Amino acid sequence: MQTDRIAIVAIFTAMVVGSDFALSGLANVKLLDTLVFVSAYLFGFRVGAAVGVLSETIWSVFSPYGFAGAIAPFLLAGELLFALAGWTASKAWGSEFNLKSPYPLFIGSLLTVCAFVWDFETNAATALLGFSPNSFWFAVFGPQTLLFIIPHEISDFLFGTLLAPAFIYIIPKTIRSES
Amino acid sequence: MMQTKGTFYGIVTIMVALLLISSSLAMVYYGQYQQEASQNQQHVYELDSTLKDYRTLAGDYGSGLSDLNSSISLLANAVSSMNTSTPAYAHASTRLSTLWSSYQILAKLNGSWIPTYSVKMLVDYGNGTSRWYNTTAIQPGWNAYTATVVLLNGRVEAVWYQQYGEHLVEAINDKVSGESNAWFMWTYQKSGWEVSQTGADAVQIYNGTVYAWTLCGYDTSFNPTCTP
Repeated sequence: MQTDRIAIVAIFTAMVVGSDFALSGLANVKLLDTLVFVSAYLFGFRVGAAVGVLSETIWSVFSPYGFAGAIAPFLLAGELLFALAGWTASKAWGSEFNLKSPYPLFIGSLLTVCAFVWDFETNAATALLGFSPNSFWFAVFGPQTLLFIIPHEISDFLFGTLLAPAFIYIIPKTIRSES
Repeated sequence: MMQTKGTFYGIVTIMVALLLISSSLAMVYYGQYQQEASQNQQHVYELDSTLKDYRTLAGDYGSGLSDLNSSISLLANAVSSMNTSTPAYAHASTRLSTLWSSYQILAKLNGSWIPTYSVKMLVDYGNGTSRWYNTTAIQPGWNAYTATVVLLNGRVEAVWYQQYGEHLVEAINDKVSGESNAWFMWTYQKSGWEVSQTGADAVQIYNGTVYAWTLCGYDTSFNPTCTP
């Protein structure tokens, strides 16, 4: 990986970890997904994956909820999904991206779907690691999870619709003007 | 005249003898007084030194109590974020109740006032049996999960959702949830019992909080099919 890519990964990772701590008081509301998506969209899957893996690893260790333990690999794998989504979206819409087009809504919707898959994947892993196959579906979608799943998807939709397009529009312009 | 003179000398002799005796006694008692006064002074010094030691010890005791309280809080936080299947959880959750009880006794001996909350918890096993747990010794700041662990002496098993920072309670007093039933938490409001929409970790305990756990079935939307 080139030096500038390493710098980009470091900047995005710092933004993700900082925002994780800043938003830790809000149940499952995070900028992580949006920033991983944006980094993969703008700089490719490898950068997005590196940002997702690094930031989620840091969060898994230093989270105020405690060390993630056995669930950590599933949290990391879930972030790769956002990186993959960002990279795929850039391949599909890259040259046609326009703030006035419906693409912001598409990004919001895509992040919502990814958030749902992330929640399902991590809850399923938690249920299986917690040795509760008897109540698997309750453990995945029971009332104790809904108040976290819903804010996650709503916030990812809003950040995906409003923030991600803004980042995708502004960051390349800033880099071009700096160089 | 001679008789009067003899009587006079006799009286004088007796008085001198009495004077000598009383002076000797006075000297003996004065000596004893001096000795006692010296001993008293020594006792005062010792008492003063002991008082200083006592005050130091009382300070250390208070500091120790404060450290113990901090340790209990840390243990409560650790228990709240541990996977209940680990042996460490089983040990720590049982010890938490014992340590908290010991702390309260030690604090009372010190004359310290500990702010505590009064809480009532109902456990309904869904088979017609239920039991109330009442306590006046819940530490402010504990959530419903920690309070439940303390009230039940650690006899709680749960799945820890690290990504959300909360537990799904799976067993209380060895009564395990199954394929078609689950442990639901309820809080008592003015309108009656309301099922909790979050895990017990997100429910803050206040003075007078009344809450319940019920083991009961649920419908396709995961809503409980019973009430406490």
